[in-house]
Amino acid sequence: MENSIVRTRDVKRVYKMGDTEVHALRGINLEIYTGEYISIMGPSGSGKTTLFNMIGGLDKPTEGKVYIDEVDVAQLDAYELAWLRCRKIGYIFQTFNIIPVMTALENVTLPMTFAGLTSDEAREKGAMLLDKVGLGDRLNHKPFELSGGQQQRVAIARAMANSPAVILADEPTGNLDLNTGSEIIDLLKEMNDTSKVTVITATHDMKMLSASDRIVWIRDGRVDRIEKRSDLEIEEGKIGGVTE
Amino acid sequence: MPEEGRIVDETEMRKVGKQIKLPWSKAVEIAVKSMKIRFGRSLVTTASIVLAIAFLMSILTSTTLITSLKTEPIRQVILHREIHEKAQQGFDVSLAFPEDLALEPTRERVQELDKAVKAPKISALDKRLGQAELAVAKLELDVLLQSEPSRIAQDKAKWPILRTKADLVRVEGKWQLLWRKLQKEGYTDVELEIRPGTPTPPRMGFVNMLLKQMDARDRWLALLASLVCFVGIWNAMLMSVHERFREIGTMKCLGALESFIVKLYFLESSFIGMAGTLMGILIGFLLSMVRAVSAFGIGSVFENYDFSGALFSAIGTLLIGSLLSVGAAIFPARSAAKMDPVVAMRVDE
Repeated sequence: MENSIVRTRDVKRVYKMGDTEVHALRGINLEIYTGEYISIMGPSGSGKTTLFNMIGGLDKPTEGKVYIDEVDVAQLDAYELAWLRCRKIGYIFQTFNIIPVMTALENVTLPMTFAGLTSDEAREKGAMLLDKVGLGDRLNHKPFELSGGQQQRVAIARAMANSPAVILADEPTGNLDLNTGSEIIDLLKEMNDTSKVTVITATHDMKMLSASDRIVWIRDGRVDRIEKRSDLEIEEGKIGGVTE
Repeated sequence: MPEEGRIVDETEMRKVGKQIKLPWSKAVEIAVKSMKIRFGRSLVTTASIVLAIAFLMSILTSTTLITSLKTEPIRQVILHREIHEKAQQGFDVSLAFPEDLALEPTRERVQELDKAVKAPKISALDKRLGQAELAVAKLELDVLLQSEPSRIAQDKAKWPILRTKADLVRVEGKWQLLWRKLQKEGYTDVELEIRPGTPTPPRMGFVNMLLKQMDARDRWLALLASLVCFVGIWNAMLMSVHERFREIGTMKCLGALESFIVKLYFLESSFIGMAGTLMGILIGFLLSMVRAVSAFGIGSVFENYDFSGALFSAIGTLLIGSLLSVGAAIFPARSAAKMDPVVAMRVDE
């Protein structure tokens, strides 16, 4: 059996809003294996985002356990959590979140700086990563000089900075047009193939399905079903119907 | 499982390591960058600091200026004209000055007088006397203001004598009026002269020294100005935290520790504070000098003014400005550091 990189055991998450309790997650059991490309899908309010934050170590479960690389996230202190976010997880956001005051290269080297690399090492590695995402000629551009697609490429390079085990992409194509979105998906897939990094995306984008190894459908805080791509290709017509 | 014979570092054994603390230099680098890009906004914040500090500085410099202009220990302030010249024009100068001062005021003579009179500290009685004299002096100045300029210049015996250091400040406006009136009539060589005089070096506690130099109204205004400045920085930093929630969240997602975010905000605020304070000190000093020169004449200011006093005020003001700007950043920096990294995921706004 493959190694699991992310494992959730009966994860529940309850938000208190005044007197009412909102059950965002009602017991999620999920195992994600190293090198997989997973898409988490579900309508808004399904608990998709909560689960996603949980996997990314950004939120802690009310009940149950989340293991990232066999480490119980709830047991970690602030320093260990920061370390985990820095080295084990690469985040990609819908809004790109490129630090506006820094150049593309500086954005990519920032997590390396946090990891303690020297400037020279970081710059060299950063340039290599930016070259890999096709921005080798735009190292010193500021974010406002880059298009949305280019910014997301910088974000992907930044997420790869410390060779993480997992890339978490939250709606990575949400703010992009169709073509650029496809390019970003292709790039994520390429990273997944070449670097063997586990990619986990939360998305509404149907284009993402063809790239994913498995699709986890979330509904009402529970895993509705998990589909493999191999099943999917056969039932392609049906998938469209489901999301209507 | 680590392979046998391979050196396994501690982090690998423990699976999860502890995030390292970054050096200040990195924080400085990033803070400077983000200041540069928000230059316009920073300028508005800086302006409020500049104004507040300039005000504080001008009060302090004016008061040190007055302190150095006043005489110790005799505390005699007299209006002096070019005696010999006027005597040649037929004025009776002997009326205007006590005999020992009616000579040309050379530097040697001033020093001699200074040594000769080593009076004890002013007693409470002296103080009350001083208050009474101040009232008289004000009346006398009023009378002078009503008189003909030629008579003013003539009857120097009627010119007031001021004894306490604050008195000069209090009659400053009237003295200016009088001086202008005389100037208008062609008595351009009228100058305020103080003798004998050496300013007392500050020996009390620092805060006391600063406070002693201001009267109650100035203290109140200075406090208000500092408060405005404090709230200004506080608000600007808080705004910058709210505006940059995504940036802060992202940095935390990338592995920034809370302490790093705190450093970032403290640095930014102290840079703004420093720049504003330095500018304020310069502007405040220049303004108070202009004011002093227009009131007392350029010669008397530059001859008597003790510039080490100005330096002292500048250092004090710099300290106050830095304390204000760093103090005002405490809460915003904390709220930035405590920010949940999840905010980076937010799509709205």
